Order: sequence, then C-alpha cells, then structure tokens
Amino acid sequence: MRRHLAFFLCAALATCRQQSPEQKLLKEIDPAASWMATLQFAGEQWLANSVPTRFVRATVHAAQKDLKKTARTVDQSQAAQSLRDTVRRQIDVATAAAAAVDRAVQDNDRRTVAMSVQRFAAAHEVLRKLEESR
Amino acid sequence: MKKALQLALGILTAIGGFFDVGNIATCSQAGAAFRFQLIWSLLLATIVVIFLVEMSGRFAAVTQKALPDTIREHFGFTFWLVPFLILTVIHLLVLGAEIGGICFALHLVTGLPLQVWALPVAVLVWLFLWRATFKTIENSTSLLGLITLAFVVAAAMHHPPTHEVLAGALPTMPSHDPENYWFIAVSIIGAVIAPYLFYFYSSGAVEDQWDVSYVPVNRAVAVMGMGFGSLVSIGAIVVAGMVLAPRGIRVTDYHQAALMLTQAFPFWGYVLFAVSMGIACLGAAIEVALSMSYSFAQTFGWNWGEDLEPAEDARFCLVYTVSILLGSLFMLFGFDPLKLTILTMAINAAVLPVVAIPMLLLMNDRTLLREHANGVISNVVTVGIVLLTLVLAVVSIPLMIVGGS
Repeated sequence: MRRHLAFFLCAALATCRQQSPEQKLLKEIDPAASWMATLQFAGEQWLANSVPTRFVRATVHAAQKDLKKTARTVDQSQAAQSLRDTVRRQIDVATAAAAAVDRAVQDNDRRTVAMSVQRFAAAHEVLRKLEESR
Repeated sequence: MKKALQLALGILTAIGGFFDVGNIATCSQAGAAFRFQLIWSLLLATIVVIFLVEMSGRFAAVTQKALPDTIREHFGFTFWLVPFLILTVIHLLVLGAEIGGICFALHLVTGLPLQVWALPVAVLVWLFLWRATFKTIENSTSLLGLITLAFVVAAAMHHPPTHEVLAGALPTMPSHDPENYWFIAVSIIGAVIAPYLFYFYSSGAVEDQWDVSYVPVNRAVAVMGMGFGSLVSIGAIVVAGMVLAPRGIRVTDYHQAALMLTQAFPFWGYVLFAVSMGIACLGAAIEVALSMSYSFAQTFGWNWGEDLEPAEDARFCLVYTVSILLGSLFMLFGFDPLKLTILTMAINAAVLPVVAIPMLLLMNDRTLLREHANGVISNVVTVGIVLLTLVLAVVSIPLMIVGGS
C-alpha cells in the first residue's frame, strides 16, 4: 500500500516537472481568467441592480490583488515571449477595466461599467482560447 | 404525539443545521470547477454521516452518556488523549472557518472589512452560548437555517439537465485538473462528516434526556434530516454548476460564490446568499464551540450542560469562551476565510478515522449497548467509507500541494 502511494506521488511530481513553461504559465493564469469572468458577471449584475455597489468594489479589489500577482508570474515566466505578451496584454486590459469599474460604480456611470464588462469578456475569451489550446 | 412533534422538529433542525461554511465553500468550488461531476462525493459522505449520527444518537439514548465521556471511561485517558488533542485543533480550525463565514456574510451586508467583524462576531456567538438554553440554540439557529433551502429552489429554477445531474451521482474520472478534483472530493467529505457533529449530537441527546424509547426517533432524524439536508448541498453544487461553471468562474474567493443566487433571484439572490451564509455559519459556530466544551468537560470529568447556570459549570463556559476568542483570531489576523475553510475540511476528512474508530469500537460493545449494538451492515459501510476517505485524503492533500492549484 505504502509503495503504491509513494509511486503515485512520485508520478504526480514527475508530471508536474515535465510541464513545459508554456503549459505551466497557462495553468497559472487560470485564477486571473476566472477573475475576469467574475468581474464581467458582477458588472452585469450591477447593471441589472442585482448586487450593490459596495459588493462590486470589494470584488474589484479582490480581483486586482490576483491580477497583480498573475502579472508578476507572467513577467517571471520562461514561456515563449509571444505567449507572455498576449497574456500580459489581457491582464493589463482587465486591470485597467477593473479600475474603471471601481470609479464608475461610485459615480453611477452605467455606460463605463457596460463598456468595461465587454472588455472583461473579450480578455477572458482570449485567455480561455489559450487555455483550450493547452 | 410528543414524539411525533420531536421527530418533525428534529428533522427540520437537522436539515437546517446540515449546511455550514464547509458546504458552501466545497459545493460552490465543486460545481464551478466540475459542474455536477462531484455529486457522488456528497452522496458518499451523506451515507456515512447518516450512519455515524445515528450511532452517536443511539449510543446516547441507550447509555444516557455522551461519546467522549464513555471513550475515556472505557479505554482510559491515555487512549483518548491523542484523538482528543487532534480534535481540539480541528475544532479550533472549524470554529475559525465558521466565524470567517459569519464575518464574510456581514461584509457582504455592510461592505466593512472582515477584520472589523471578527471580535463583534465572537461576542455575538459567546452571548448566544452564555444566555441561551440548549433547546433555544438547537431550534432557533437550525430553523432559521432553513433559509438555505433557497439553494434547492434556485437549483430547480435553473432547470439543470437531469441526466447530467444523475450521472454525477456515480464517480467518474475528471477531464481536467485531476489533483484539484480529488482534493475537492475529499474536502466535500470532510465538510459533511465534521467530527464536531457527533460530539454535539450525542451530548445534545444527553442534554435532551433521551432514553431507549428515542432509538426509532433518532434513526428517523438521522436518515431523513441528514438526507434532506444533503439536498441543500446538492442544490449548491447544481447552482454553481449552472451559473458559475458556464462563465468560467472558479471559486477561489467567497466574492465569486456570492454571485451564485443572483440569477435565480435578481436582487434578493445576493441578500439570500449573505443571510444563508450568516445564519448557517452562526448555527455551526455555536455548535462547534459547544462541542469543544462538551469534549473538554467530558474528557476531564467536569460538570457540563448548556442548561446549567454558568456558575455551576464555570470550566465548561471557560472552554467555549477561550475557544471563541481563539477562533476569532484567524479573521482578526487577516486569514483568507475560503482557504482556511478548504484546508480545514480536507484535514477533517484526513482525521476521520480518529473519530470513527473509537466510536465503532464502542458501538460494538454489547455490554454497553446490549441488543442496540451495531450490526454488520453499519460496521462494513462505515469502515469501508472511512478507509476510502483516508486513502483519498492521504493521496490528494500532497497532490494538491504539489499541483499548487
């Protein structure tokens, strides 16, 4: 039993080590992609008056922390430059849109929120397609 | 007539009391990441919890004694010391996670940071325990907890594909993130089979002065209460699978889970989530703190009873007071409530044998339980699933660390 467990763990470790830098990066951007989708949904629900402004702001702040962390990961990644650039661009778009939403919900600026929702959707779509190609 | 009323109330309280922070966290993660594919782990856990809750209630009804009390008397203090210490740590972690859940619910309602709420929530939980009787605690928080049925209603409103939901009842291999899949499966089991539940339930049965005539009531409460209670958790998996998964939202933060009900109930969904989370976690926090006091008092042979005046069982009250204070420190020092919950639930599953083995040994003692001792089916099912959970936990926790998701 112990031997089986040890084998299983070693196999798992080996699998992790065998990942290419590109695969590793695409796995590591998973939380950022999820936050983009979350911000899109939160924005849509705010526009539908289903969630309060304070919730959207708190969600934006939580997302910004993770987006910043992912941006650092991308910068330190050994993956191909073109992949890093594509990912980094989407994260920058989402970070800027998040900051815009944070201000817009306070000012009740529905137009900016609606535009930001579309930017989140587009950035998420790019990352989703990249992840699918993994 | 009195028994029928108690049975109805018992089932309602079991349904209301089933759902807590662990279920909210693990079920929303499961549904968001794997849609309905992990329903099987919830069903597996429900079967075990039905058996274990039934056993702990039957034990209390037949012997008029709670579990820790008898384990210490029967096997000696040294035998009980290690499980007792492990369970004390687990109790504190669960209490911290439940307090985190209440703080998050209040954060949703007020927008104030979680740290601000840590001490007020601790005072609220403590006041409840200091002032209320066992009956008040048992009935009020659990009956209010029926608000969590909103997840079942929301699940029905989303019209999930029946065949996919039913297919989730059978274990299948994941198409992606296997380490995350098994880790969530283990966490769901740990969330449902929380060790505090058995000590709370058996001590509560002693507080309620159950006798052998309550054995059938206990069985019905365990089967129907836990069975219907698991429906709420299935509801949460289904809602997350219908709302979060198609959008590509993974639950790595409670803010993401808070959006779950907003589609089924525009505007009210947000409020319902906050209230469900707050009440479910408040009820569970009170139960965990009480369970901690029961466990200490019974281990060291002190006076105990929620219905006694604090002056009559000062050490019992001191334990829940200190526990609540320690439990609130996690939020006060800025721990992430979701990460704390998920980690705690996985550890819960890993230490399941520590709870289940002494209980099973006692349940097979015919000198204590006479004709009410365990049968073959109870033993086989419980031992089988506990061992399976242990293997899954031993494998998946290192995998999760290695996988780093």
